[in-house]
Amino acid sequence: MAAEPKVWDVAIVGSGFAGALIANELGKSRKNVIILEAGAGVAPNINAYMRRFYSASAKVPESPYTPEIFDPIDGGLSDPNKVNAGRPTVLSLNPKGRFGDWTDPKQAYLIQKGPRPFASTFDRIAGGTSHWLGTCLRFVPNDFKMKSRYGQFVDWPIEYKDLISSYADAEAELGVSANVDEQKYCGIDFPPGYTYPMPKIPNSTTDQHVDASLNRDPLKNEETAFLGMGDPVTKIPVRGVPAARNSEPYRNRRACAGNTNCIPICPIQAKYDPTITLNDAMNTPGIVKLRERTVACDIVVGENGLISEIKYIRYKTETGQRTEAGSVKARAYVIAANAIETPRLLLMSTNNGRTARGVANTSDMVGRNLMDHPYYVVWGMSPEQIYPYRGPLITSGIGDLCDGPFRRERAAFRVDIGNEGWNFVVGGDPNVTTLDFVNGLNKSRLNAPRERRDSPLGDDALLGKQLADKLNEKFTRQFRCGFLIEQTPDRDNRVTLSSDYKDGLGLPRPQISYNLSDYNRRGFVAAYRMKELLFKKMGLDEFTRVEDDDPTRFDEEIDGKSVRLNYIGAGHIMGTCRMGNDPKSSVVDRFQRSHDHKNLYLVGSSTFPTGATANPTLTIAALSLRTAQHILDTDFRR
Amino acid sequence: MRTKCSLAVGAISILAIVGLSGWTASAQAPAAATAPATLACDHDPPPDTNQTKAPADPLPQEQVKATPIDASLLTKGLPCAENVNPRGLFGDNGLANLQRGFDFYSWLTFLALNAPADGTRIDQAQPNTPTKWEQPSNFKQLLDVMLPDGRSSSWGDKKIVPPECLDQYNKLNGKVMVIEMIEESFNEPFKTGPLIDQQGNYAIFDILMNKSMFDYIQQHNLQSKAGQQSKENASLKVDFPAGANRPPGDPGAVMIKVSWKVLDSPAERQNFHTVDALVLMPRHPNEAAKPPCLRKTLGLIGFHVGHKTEGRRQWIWTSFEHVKNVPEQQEVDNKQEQGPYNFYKVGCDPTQCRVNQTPPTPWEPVFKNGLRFHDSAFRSQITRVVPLTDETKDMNERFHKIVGNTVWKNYMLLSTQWPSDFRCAAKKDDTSRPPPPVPATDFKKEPDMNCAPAPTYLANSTLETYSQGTDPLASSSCMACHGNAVSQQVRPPDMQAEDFFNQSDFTFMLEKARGKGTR
Amino acid sequence: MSGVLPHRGPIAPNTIEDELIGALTRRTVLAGAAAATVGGTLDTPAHARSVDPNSREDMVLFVLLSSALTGIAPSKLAPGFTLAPPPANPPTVPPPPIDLSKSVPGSDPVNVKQEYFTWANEKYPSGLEYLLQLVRKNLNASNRDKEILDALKFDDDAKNKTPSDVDAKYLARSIVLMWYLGAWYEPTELKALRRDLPKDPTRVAKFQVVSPKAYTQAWALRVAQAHPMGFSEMQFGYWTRQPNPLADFT
Repeated sequence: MAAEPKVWDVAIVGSGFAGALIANELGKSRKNVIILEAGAGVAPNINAYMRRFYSASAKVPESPYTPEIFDPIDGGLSDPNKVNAGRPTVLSLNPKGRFGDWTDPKQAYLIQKGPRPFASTFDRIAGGTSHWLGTCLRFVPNDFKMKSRYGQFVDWPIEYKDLISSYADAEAELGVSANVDEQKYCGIDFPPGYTYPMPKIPNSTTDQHVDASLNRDPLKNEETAFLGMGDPVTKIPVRGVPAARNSEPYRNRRACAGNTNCIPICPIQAKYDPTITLNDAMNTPGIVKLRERTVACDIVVGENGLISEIKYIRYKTETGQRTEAGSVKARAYVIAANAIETPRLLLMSTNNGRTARGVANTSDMVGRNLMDHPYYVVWGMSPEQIYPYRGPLITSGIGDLCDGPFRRERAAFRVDIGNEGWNFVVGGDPNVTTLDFVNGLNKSRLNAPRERRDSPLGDDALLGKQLADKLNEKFTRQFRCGFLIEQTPDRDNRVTLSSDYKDGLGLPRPQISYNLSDYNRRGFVAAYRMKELLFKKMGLDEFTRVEDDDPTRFDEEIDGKSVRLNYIGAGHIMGTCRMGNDPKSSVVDRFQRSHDHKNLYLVGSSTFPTGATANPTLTIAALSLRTAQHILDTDFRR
Repeated sequence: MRTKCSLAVGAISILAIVGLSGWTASAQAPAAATAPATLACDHDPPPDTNQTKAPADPLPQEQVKATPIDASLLTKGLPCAENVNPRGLFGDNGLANLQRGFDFYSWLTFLALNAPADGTRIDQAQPNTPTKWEQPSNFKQLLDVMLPDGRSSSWGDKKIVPPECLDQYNKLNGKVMVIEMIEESFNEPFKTGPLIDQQGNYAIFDILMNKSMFDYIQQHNLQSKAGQQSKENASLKVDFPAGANRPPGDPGAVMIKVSWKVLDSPAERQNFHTVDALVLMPRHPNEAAKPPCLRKTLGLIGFHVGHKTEGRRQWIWTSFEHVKNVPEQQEVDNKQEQGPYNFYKVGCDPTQCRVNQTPPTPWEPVFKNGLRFHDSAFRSQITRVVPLTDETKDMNERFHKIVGNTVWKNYMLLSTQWPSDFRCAAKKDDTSRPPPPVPATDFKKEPDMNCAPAPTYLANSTLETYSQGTDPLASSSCMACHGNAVSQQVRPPDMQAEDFFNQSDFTFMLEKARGKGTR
Repeated sequence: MSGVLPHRGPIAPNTIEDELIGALTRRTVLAGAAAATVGGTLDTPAHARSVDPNSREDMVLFVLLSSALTGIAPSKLAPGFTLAPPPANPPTVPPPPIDLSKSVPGSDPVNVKQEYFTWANEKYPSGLEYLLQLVRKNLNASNRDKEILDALKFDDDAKNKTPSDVDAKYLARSIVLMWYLGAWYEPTELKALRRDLPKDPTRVAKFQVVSPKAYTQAWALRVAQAHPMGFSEMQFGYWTRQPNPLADFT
C-alpha cells in the first residue's frame, strides 16, 4: 500500500458535490488528495440508510442518514450541544413553545436570531445534500447580470457563456437526462448539436394534467399581465425538469423505476449522489483518501498569507469524546463545506488575532448575504383523478417565468409541479388522510364539508370497502406545487459564530440572522397570483393553510384582501462567500479562489453572489469542475 | 448437431421446428467420435414428488413421496421448463412445495449444465473435465455477442481472441477458455467492489447466454447500440423466448453468470471444478502498456443461472456456490466455523479483518501485479448474512450423495428465486373462468412486475458480496434488481411516451451492447 | 433502547442500530413495548381464551377480519388464501358452512400477515380475541363483512356498549392502520386524539413504523393505484401512463 504523503497536493474539507467532483478531477490527473469529512464515511451499500428510512416515522430529508435525529433515550430531538458534527433538521422549525421550537438551542442546531427562521437544512453524509431531488437546471443568462440588466443586487464576475462548457461537463459527470430543445428558454442556449447525456424522463400524469389545464386555451392578457413579462403571455409552457436521474443505464447505474422517493434517498441509485463520484475518485491514479468523522476546526495562515495547514478533531461516535487531533498540510486547500459550515470554519480560524475577522475575510463578506430559495407551497384537490404518488417526486415545472422586466420590481420565481400528492404537506400523507378517515379526524381537512373545513374532528370514520374507495377518491386527486422565489442577497442575512452555544466538540455553533426583503415579498405576491391562475385553470379546490403561529408566516394585502403567506426552505444554502472581481466586496474571484490567500479555494454555493431561481446543484458542479481545472492549471502548472 | 437448437449456423427461428417431430431430445447422447454432444433439454423433467398434477384430484397426503434422488437423475438432462406443484411434501403449504420443486429443478439444471461435454457421466468427472456450458456450441460469452463495433454475428462464428492472447491461444490449439476482462469482470454489479481471496487474488466474473437468447438478439438487431437505438426498435417490447415442457423440447432463454477463483497452487485444484484459461486483464486508461494475457487455472466458486419459461416469464433464478466460500454469520457468532474458507479467515480479529467490507481503494487491477490485489496484505473477510434454509441444506446433502467422489459434491444450491404470484403477468381485470393456462406477457406490468419473488432476497457470497441482507430494495434480490433492467432503446419524437417500453426482460446484457450510438 | 415507546413529542422516534437485522430487533421491541403499554380492559387475563398466531384457523380468522376491516380481498392480503369448502358450481343456497380446519391461510414469501397477527396479539391478546370472536360469530353470515363492520359501528358513549366493546372498536382501527400504513397507532392514542384535538388542534399523532417490510407492504397508496413511497415494483416510464384499474391493485 502506498504510503500517504506528508504534504498532500490538495486538501479538501467536505465530501459533497463540490468536494467530490474536485477530488475526482484532481485524482484523474494523478494528484494526491485528502478529503476531510465531518460526518460518517460511505458504507459499501445503502442497506443501513434504507432501513433507517423505512423505519422512520418522520420521513424528513435527514431521515436515512446519521447523525440520529432523535435522542434514543428521551425520544426528543438530539441535543445539538452533545452532537459532534451536528446539522439542522426540518423538525426544529416549529413555532416557539412547541416541540421543535426553532429558537430553542437544545433542539435546533442553528442558533436562529431571526427575525425569520432560516428554513433549509443539510446532511452529514457524502456532503450535505445526498438527499437532493436531482434537479439539474442551468441558470438563465440574465441570472448572472441582475445589476446591469435590472438594477438589482450585483452582477456575477462571470456570464452564462463562461459556463457553457462546464455545464456540459457537469451534465456528463452527474448523468443528466433532458431534451435539449425543451430547455431552450429564457435565453438558455447550447452549442450546435449538443445533446444531454440521456433522453428526458417521461412526464407524469400530473404534469400532463397541469399542462392541459393551463394551456387548453390561449391565456388572455388580463390573466397574465401581473407577471410583468413585457410581452403578452398567451402560453405558459410546462417543461420537463433536467435531472441527474437515469432514463437509461448510465455508468453502471440503473434507470429510474419511479420509487417516488428521490428525497431523501433513491433505493436503486438511479439518482446521482456524491458517493458515486467519491467512489470514482478513490479509484483514480492519484491517491485520493477520505478521512471520515474528521472535523476541520482551524485554518492556519502561514507566511505570505498562504494557508499552511488545516487542523482537525476526530471522533468515533456521534456524541462521544473526541478521539484525536491533527492537521493536514497541502499545497492547495479547498473548503467545500456548504454555505453555513464553510463561513463557520473561516470565522473560527482567527490565527491568534492575525485573522481576527476570520480567514479570507478582509472584505467582511464571509458569512454575509446568506440566501435560500424561500419556497412557497400550495395544495388542493382536483375535480379529476390525476394519479399522483407515481414516478419521481418532480418531473416537470414552469421555468419560463423566471426572467423578465419584472425583475426590476419583484423577485422572480420558478414553479415545481409535485408528483407526490400531499406527501409534502398536511404533515405527511398518506398517513394523515388515512388516519383521518379511519379515526374520524380532520387534519387533512378532507373529512368535512367546506363550511366546517377547519373542524378538528372529521365526519367519517370508515372501515372496509368504504374506506378503500374513499382513500382512492381522495389520494388520486391530490395536487401540490411549489414556488422557488429568488432571494435578495442582504448583507444582514448572515452566518456568524454563536458566543453562547457550542457543539459536542466544543466548537461554536453557527448563528443565523435572516429575513425576507420587500423585493422578495413582492415575488411571493406574484407567485400567489400565479397560483390563483393555475388553480383556477385546473379547477382546484384549494386547501393551502398557514397556521396562526407559523414562524415563517407573513401577511400581504393582495387585491384588497389580507393573504397569509409562508415559506419553507428549499435546501439551497447560498451566498456566504460571494464571488466577485473586487476584493473589497467579495471573498473569492471568478475561479472561486480566495482574494486573500492564493492557495485557498472556497467552493459550492457559498460563492453565488445571487441566487436566481434554479436549483444550485448543477451550477455548483459546473463551477467545481472549472475550479478543479484552474487548480491544475495554476497551482500545479500542468 | 442433433438438436433443433443448433440445427444450422445462422439465425433460425426457434419456433420453426419443422422436420423434427418424432425426435425426443435426449441429453444422453452416445459418446460421439467426432463432435461432443450439445445441450438438449428434457421436455419431461421429473417433478420433485409424485404428487399428481391435476389440482382437483391430488394424491392423499400420506401417499405423497419425494422423487428419489438417485443416480438416474444424473442423465435426465436440462429441464426445458420447471415441473413444480403447489401440492407436495408440505401439505397445502403451496409456497414450501413450490420452493422445493424449484430447488429440485435447479439441481437438475446445474447437473445438466455441468455434465461433461464429451457425454460421459458427471459422477465420473475429473476436476478439469470440460463441462457442457463451457462449450461455445452451447453458450457464448457476453463480449462475443456484444462486439466492439456492434456488428451482428452467427452462432457458429469462431471465437474472437484478443490479439494479446492470440499467441498462447494458438499454441494451445484453442483448447482454452478466454476471458477478456472488463470492469464487470472484477467489480461487482453497480461498482460495489471487487472480491479478494485468501491468496490475495481477485475473483473473476463472467456472463454467458445460450443460443435462444443469442438468436433473439441478432434477429432484433439488439447486438449494437445503434441497433437498439434505431427507429425500428423503438416499438419493440423485448421478450426473450420462453422454455416449455412439450415435445420436441426447447429451453428458451438461459443465461449464466459465473465466478472464478485463481488457483495457483496444485493442491487447491482438487477441490474445485477447474478450467485452463487465458485471462486478459482489463484495459485501462491509466496504464500505458498493453494488458497482459495471463494463463491461469481457474476454479469455479459461484454459478448463477437465469432461465425464462412460459410458466415463469419473470425467469427462474438459480444460484450455486462452492461449499467452502464463506461461513454463515450464525456460525461465526456461535464460533462454529469449519474452515478453511476461500473468502474468510477463521480466528481473525474483527477489528483486523472487518467483515463484509469492501477492499481499500483503488480497486482496478494493476498490470504489473497480475491478478494479485495491489494491497498484498488485504483479504476479503466475508460471511453469509442470510443462511440457507434447512430444506435446501437437506436437498444439497441428498444430491451430493449421487455425484460420487467428484468435485461436484463441493457445490451447493443457495436457493432458487422464482415469481410466486403466478397470474400477475396477466394483470388485466381478468375474471375469465377458467383462467387461461399460460399467462401472456403483460408489458405494462402493474402493479408488481416482479410478481412477488420467493424468497424475497437472494445473494451469492461471491457475486453479490456487499449487498447481502434483508432490507427492501437495498439488499440483493435477483428479480427486484433485474426487474429494473432496461435497454438502450430510444423513443423517437413522434412516439407517445406512454407507448414506449424499454424494459429489457430481466437482463442487463442489452445495456452492454457497444458500437457507435445514433444519439 | 429501541424498545422504548416515547411518551413525549408529537412524532414517535425510531432509532435503528446499524447492525441489527429486523426480526431480532422487533422481538425485543415487542417485549419492551408490551410491557410499556398502558393496560386497558383488553388485557385482562380473565378474558383469555388465548389466540394463537401460529394456528392456521386463527390465521384464517385474522385474514377474514383484516379483509373486512380494510376492504381489500383476502387473497391480496394473504396470497394463496382459500376458504374450504370451495364454492360449488352451480353454487348451493345456502352455501355450506365454512370449514376452518380445511381452510388455507395462504403462503407467500413476504408473509406480512404473520407479522401483523403476531404484533397485534402480543399487544392486545384479549382485544384480538374479541375481534376474532366477532368473525367466528358471523363466519357463515350471508354478508359477513357487513355484519362485522356493523358490530363495530357505534358511538363511544353508546349506552349498550361496554368498555371492552369500545376498546375493540379502537383496536380494529389500529389494525386497519397497520395494514394501510405499515405503522402502529396505539388504540389508546387513537381515542386520545379524538379527545384532545378539539382542545389542541396542533397535536400530532404518535405512531411507530412496525418494520421496513411492513412499510413496503402498506396499502394506503396501492388503494390509490400507486405504491408506497420508496418502494415501487413497477418499471421505468410507468408514471407517464394512466394506472391499471383499481381491481388490479386490490
